[in-house]
Amino acid sequence: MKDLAPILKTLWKNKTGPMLLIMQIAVAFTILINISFMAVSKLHELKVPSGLDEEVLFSLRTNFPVAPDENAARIQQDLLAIQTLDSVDNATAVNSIPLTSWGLFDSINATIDPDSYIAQAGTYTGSKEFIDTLGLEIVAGRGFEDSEVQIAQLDYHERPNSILVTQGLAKWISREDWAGAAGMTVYINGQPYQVVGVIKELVAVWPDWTGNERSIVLPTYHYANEGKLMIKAKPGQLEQAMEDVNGLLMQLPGRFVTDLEKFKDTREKGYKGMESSLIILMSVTVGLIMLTMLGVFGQARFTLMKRRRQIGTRRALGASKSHIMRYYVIESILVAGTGVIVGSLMAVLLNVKLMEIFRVDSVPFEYFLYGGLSVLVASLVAVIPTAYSAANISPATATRSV
Amino acid sequence: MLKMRGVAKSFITDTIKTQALQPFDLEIKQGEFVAVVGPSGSGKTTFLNIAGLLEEHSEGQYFLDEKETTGLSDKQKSSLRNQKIGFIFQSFNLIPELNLFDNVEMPLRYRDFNAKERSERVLNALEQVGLAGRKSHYPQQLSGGQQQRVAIARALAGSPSFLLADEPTGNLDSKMADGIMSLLKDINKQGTSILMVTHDMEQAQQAGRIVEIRDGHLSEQKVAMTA
Repeated sequence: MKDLAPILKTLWKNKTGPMLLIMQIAVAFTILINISFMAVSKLHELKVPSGLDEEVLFSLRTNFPVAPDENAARIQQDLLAIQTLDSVDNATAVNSIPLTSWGLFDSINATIDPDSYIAQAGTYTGSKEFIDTLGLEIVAGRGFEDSEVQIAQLDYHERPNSILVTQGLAKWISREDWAGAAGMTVYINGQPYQVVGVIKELVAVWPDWTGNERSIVLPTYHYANEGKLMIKAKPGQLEQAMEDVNGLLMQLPGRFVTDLEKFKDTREKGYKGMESSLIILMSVTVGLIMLTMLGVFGQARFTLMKRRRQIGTRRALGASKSHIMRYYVIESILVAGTGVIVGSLMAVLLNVKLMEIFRVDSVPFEYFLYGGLSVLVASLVAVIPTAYSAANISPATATRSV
Repeated sequence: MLKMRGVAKSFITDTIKTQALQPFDLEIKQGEFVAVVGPSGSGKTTFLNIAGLLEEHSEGQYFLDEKETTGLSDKQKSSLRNQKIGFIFQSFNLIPELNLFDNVEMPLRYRDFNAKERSERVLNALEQVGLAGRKSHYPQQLSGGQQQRVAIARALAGSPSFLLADEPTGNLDSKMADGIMSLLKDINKQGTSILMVTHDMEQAQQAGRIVEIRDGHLSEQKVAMTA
């Protein structure tokens, strides 16, 4: 490490170039760390299980072309008729379809006091076969009794006081033992509800919501003159079931059927925005790394041109090619390393701000470790060709007076 | 100390072969001061580069302190150059970002000296050229003559067998040039051999021997007078 002192002195004497490069690396590193973390978090969100039996599910929106007081009966007749189709396993009416970004949410409180806020959760209501149709799994407590499930008009006070919650929400209601949430009472809009069971997973309707593992299911389906249905096809008969259901519903005069869609497509559409932003994030990250490498390469190349005579002099005075290579590589590691250290501090500060503003998680230590190593390796890759050229400068020509 | 037998240098570009130096024999003994003279383009610098192990000769044998230099690796040649040869360039070639102490210390960093040994050698060398008091100055704070003195101190610090000086006074006015010549002669008197390329016949006459290179042919000249 005999080169260290002269390298530091030389860098200090001509600090503008190296300082700019250090800032470039630091800023790139700051963005790189936070973007990588966001990208990985988004990737993780894309893979979050919905809890639904996605392969056999589809949904549609339809109207009930009857007098208002016959709506409830019409819905039940339609569901019964659909359930009897050979290609269909089960069917339910739903207020919202998961991952479509359209639905309700409620604030869950521990007591009637609004200050006892626990968490927000996506709200689903469905008719009798909701749990079975969607393929949900009850992992604690029980599902709804037939007597609890009803199709009613929109009136909160008519709701039975039983609800199901997802495991993701149960962990907030009963922090030490999520299964213990079954049997507990929670408050929604000042009304008490008893949690009768816990569903393993049921994704909320908003794909990009960080709390979308928290959902509740109410047993009252509020009808109107149109609504959404979700249907479970028999295995391997999804296409047929979609055709059969459409044909069956359209037999009724004045009816429309729209948004007939496989749940796989619903999911894909739901995450399309996130996928696009993930691709953009990844592209920005790759672009930044390349920009940083170009910066290091440019700085090294510029320095080489400036120091051509100096390198020749060093060679004439006894430096071997490996001495020159070593000099350049150490110099690059020093500059890139300082950039990484400054960048790490900036990344932590930025992350703290992002945590305050967007409630994102803190960036794990591994990101700094692997990010730092990546930047150092990228810098070395950029500087080695230049260092090699420098080592091969002919001392005879470089030291010649012009 | 320096012995060349049948050494020649040719360059081949495309299909044309250019003979830069015709085969020649030369021997320089310990303590000699040899001036190399000749017109521009005659091959002086090529000769100096071969003597300084900066360029490979095409033919012949070159012994430096009895060691055959032909076919040595870059690392071996660099090490030999560092230990046996001190370079003095026409345009000084000091490193502007380093102060005088660090400039003189630079070649010593490629050897196995510890920090104390390096410091002693640097201060002795700067003392020898009369600049010990300015060790913290930077090259741009000195006159041309002083800069060349620093370059001489840098060449001397490693106790080389001989100094190779390429037009050492070429960038200096006559007064400064006289000072540098006087310093070189002092160094020579203390036992260090010097091989100096120059255009200036008056300076060449101050050396003990003159070698003339003309159109790639190397020949000895008689010294008319010595200072």
